Amino acid sequence: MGGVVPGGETPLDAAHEPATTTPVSALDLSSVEADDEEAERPAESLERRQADLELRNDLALAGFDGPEWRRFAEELARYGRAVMKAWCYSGEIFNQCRKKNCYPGPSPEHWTDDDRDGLADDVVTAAIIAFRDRALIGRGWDWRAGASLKTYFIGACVYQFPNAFRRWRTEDQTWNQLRRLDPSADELLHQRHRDDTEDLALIHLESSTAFDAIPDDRTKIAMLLHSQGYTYPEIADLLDTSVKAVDGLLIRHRKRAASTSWRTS
Amino acid sequence: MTENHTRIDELIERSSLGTPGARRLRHRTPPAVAQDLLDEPSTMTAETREAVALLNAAVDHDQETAHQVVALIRPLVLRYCRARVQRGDLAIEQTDEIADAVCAEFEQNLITDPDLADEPKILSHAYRIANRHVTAANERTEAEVRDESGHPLRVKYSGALAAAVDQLDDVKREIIVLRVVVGLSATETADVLGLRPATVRVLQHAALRTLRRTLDM
Repeated sequence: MGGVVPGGETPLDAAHEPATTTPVSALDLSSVEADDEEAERPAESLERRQADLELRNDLALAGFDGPEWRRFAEELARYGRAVMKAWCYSGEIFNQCRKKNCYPGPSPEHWTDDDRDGLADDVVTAAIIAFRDRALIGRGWDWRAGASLKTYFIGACVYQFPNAFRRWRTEDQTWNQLRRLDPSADELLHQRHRDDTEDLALIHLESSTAFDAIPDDRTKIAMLLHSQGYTYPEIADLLDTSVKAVDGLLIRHRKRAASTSWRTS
Repeated sequence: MTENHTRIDELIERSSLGTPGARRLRHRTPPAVAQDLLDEPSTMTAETREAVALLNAAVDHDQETAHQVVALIRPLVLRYCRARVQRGDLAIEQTDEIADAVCAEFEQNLITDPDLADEPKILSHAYRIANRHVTAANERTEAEVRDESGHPLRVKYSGALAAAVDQLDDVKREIIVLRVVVGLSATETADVLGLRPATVRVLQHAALRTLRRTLDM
């Protein structure tokens, strides 16, 4: 799509710029286990990123505003919220923050669905604005650099997480103080500290011997997400790897678990 | 659906957001929830924005600057006092006098404390003063109004909506007053009450549900 962007901005042109054919994800892929399917991913990734560029240029023509922007932002919010919730649930968000040198401190011992929902909402609301201003309008995102639009957006979410998390932690401490001072605050506190099904599932899974025996974080996270009903394509997206690699992780885990169980019986 | 809308949808599906995993993840968030996130109001009301700009531009927080800032914030204080003061026999002018006392104290503090020159602090500080004055006024009113046997009689607001708001617990009531009557954004309300915007939204929804039920709406 050609044309001139309002404000004199010229759309970036994938057809006339040399493309880097090997995508380098913003996420660290070093720990991904080797897989044949990986070889097929660069071509698809390149196509997707070229479509990302086309999308970015269309949004630029609309001045990153109006119904076009709104439609895109809505899908961005839907995606970002789901990723943040899954990463909060699995603890992956803390790994991601550590990689970006913005580690906000350890994962809380107890947080609820409401907590994770609220944090995901805060993070995504702030990240969409930062992403539009810096990545799209400010051209921080470059399709040739390897990261797709969605990966870049999730990076923006990771950078927003520490502030939102610290705020949540402070508030959590306030609630606990209130509880000690005023028993009438119990009704509100009850809303925040009820046992929810996801937490019970997590406690159950984490307390199992087989879970402790899992040697690497990626498999643990894949297991957690799988136990929560996430599909293989979703887990692949969340771990920035292929469906086949996820399948491999889970199969290897089952074999290990069966072997351990056979040896200990 | 417009032609441009269709094209954006088509581009989204071809883009990195259109991979099978990303598509399924997107579908985990209902569109209405995403729309709510995008509808997050401005994080600062016009009055606060102007007040902060004034304070930042001023070399000294002199009497004149403080006076101008208070003039900007006064409507917010007035709305808060009118919504929260249990009037009983008090005339509306007397409620406004409480707002004047709040503004006078706030103005004095602006001159002596230069650290108040940012948005959350301005609002939180004004709120704390207003809340203290309103609580004291309500206690005085309750002490004065007694039933036939001489026991303090809790003064009810007039009007069904005000009475229903009075039935909410403290945090929810303050959220409704600050958001609905004073007109603060969720972020400002969160700053003032020491909560997160998401919590304000959740409690606000719960409070509105209660109000709807109470008022049979």
